[in-house]
Amino acid sequence: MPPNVEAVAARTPDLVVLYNAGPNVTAAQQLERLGIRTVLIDLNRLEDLGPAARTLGRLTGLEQRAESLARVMDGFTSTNLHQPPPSSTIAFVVWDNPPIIIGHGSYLDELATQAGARNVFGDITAPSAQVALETIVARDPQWIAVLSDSAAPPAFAKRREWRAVPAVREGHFLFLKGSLFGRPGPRSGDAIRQFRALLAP
Amino acid sequence: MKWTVLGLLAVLALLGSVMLGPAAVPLTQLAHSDIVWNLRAPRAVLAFLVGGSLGVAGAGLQALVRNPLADPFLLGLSGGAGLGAVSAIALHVSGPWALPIAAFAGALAALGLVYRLGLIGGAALDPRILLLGGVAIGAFAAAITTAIVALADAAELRNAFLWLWGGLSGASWDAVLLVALYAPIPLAVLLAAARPLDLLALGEESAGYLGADVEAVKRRVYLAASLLTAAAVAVSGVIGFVGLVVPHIARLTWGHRHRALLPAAFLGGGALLAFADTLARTVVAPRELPVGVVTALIGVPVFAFLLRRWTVA
Amino acid sequence: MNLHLENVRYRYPGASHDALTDVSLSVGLGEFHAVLGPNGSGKTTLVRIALGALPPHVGRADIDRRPASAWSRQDLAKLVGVVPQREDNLFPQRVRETVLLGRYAHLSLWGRERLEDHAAVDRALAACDVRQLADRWLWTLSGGEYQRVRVARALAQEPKLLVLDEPGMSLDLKHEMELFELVRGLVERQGLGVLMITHDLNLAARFADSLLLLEGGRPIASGAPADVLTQQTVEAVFSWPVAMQTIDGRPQMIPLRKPKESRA
Repeated sequence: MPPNVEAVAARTPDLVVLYNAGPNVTAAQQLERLGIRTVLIDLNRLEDLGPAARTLGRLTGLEQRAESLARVMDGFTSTNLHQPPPSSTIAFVVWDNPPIIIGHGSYLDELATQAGARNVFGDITAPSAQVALETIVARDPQWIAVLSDSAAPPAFAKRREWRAVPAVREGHFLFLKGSLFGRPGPRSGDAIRQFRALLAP
Repeated sequence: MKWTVLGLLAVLALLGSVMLGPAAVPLTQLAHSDIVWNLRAPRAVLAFLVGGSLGVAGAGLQALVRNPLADPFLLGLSGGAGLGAVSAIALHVSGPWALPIAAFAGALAALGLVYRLGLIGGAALDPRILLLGGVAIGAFAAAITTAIVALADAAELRNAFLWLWGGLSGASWDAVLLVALYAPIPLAVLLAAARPLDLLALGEESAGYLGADVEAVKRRVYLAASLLTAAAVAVSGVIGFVGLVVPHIARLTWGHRHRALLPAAFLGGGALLAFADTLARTVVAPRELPVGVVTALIGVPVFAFLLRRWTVA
Repeated sequence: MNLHLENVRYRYPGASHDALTDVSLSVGLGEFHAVLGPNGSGKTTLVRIALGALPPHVGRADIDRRPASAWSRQDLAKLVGVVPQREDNLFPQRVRETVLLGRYAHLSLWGRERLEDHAAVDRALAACDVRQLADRWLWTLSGGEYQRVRVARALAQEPKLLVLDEPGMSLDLKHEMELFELVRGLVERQGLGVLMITHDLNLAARFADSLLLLEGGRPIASGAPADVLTQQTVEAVFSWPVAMQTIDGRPQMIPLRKPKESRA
């Protein structure tokens, strides 16, 4: 939803930070016209963390602190982290009807690589895509990862057509907390650690 | 002769649905494949049943409102179904059948409202008000749906719209059984109304003088067509153009006598949807298109062609 | 077997005056009745009440001694064939198909059309002299041919009574004459009872056995044409000067031009 520009402006902030997408872009333009410092930050992938930290540091004058944070975050990116060889296969299912999976290049996909799991839908370059159920069955991932705050099996696990997926039949679900796995952030390191722990035999 | 061709098309569409798909299943293994028996086969049968139901509902509706541009989704049902589904998600209603049941309930609520509106002029059901009321209620429901999606917390709600675009992903033998038990009743009601619908084409007054119980026919056709559509939406979202275009294509060969037209619309609608679903699954494999997109992409050029034929004739 | 209206009074909901007041009419087999009157005199209301589409507020409207509204549509269709004033034809049809629609009341729910249904259609087509048009598309017919086809459809119902609402409107002379001859022939040869609403006083007077003249919903005169269409009555009801002549023993009305001084 677009932010309420008036409400934001009424608080006369020194700086407004917005996630760079959709209605936020227009909101940023409007805030700029009102003379309020605004910045749009890309925050979709691990690689975005470092630059984001540095930008914020520059804008708030806290460059040194930002730089140390940025260096840690740079360490998360694929080129810098020690990547374990993939030991299991995984599919991220964010919706069941129609089945929507996460593809290559998205944050979750990156986390999977760091955690040592191969995304069976890594050949799809879009961050998310609709696939046929039979494709999931054919690619037979060992784990089905869902974004969920509880450890209860998702509703679709009881549906007859989903039980054709071996991982669903056997209850091999990974439950990823939305607050930690939803978006890159300073706790991405925790996310990777938790992920690895979940995959460990 | 034409029935043979239609039957053949139907069989081919079903076979294609079962044999083709993004997961390469070699022919020799078809009979043993889990994918084929648990996923493709029920999906093919469901596509056929849903497509057939939409075809018949569309034909019946076009005769009822005396407007060849009528589509089952003009009745406001899709709006109601969407609202039901989105409400269920927003309220975190759980259960594997939560979405279809909520969608069906929403569709029925819309049906009730539009029916009530249609009776506004008195005891006689006015088909023009049905159409207008359907559009109005549908738009109203869609507006509330959008508001809920915008205001509510769940990110899943955005994906609910994909469901609404139409998909047979939820197909299972359970779903097939439900539809197979449910659909024959409204289908039979529509078929029984075939001759009165022929009479209705002459106008309500003339139809009455020829012996049709016009009010009863209008009621039954409206309710039966709506119930079929409601079930279709509950099970597979909004799949447009099938109900609009299939009756017209059928009329080109079978004419306007509904005793032949309705069965032809059923077979034609079933074949079309099974075929469209196969395309949806294979054209951008491993990804899948929403089947409502495919039917629109096929339906619009066909519709344009039909329009030309009309204006030329 | 007849169609019987007695002292019928009717007012449309919300109207300020009655559409029909104290109207009586009896149409039996082998009788040709015509209902005449200026626009708004209640002719179409009369037909609706006679056929049970509207209930009379006072009086009775019976068909075969049962109230008209008590008849089911299907049973009534086997008895009375109606050719309404207007008809929409949403889809293109051939003549034979549209006449076949007249068999609806005789068909069973799931059964197909039987030999006897097709035979009835053939007889109806022949009686209306449109056999040769059987395979033509309706839109290719002339106005007169189309009207005869509509009468054929009503005949396919194998009714005892025929009701026609302004059948001659928009037909040219030849076709209108042919239509009236057709209806007269049905009365004489097949013994049908006919109730016809028409604007055409002269043709009604020539062909009908009995006339009912309405004005403002009230019956002005009824009976034999010669008794009903007198110069006085016609001038009073239609508010125009006429001269009367007799042809074939039937009164014919000739409208006069108003004298030069009073022309505008």
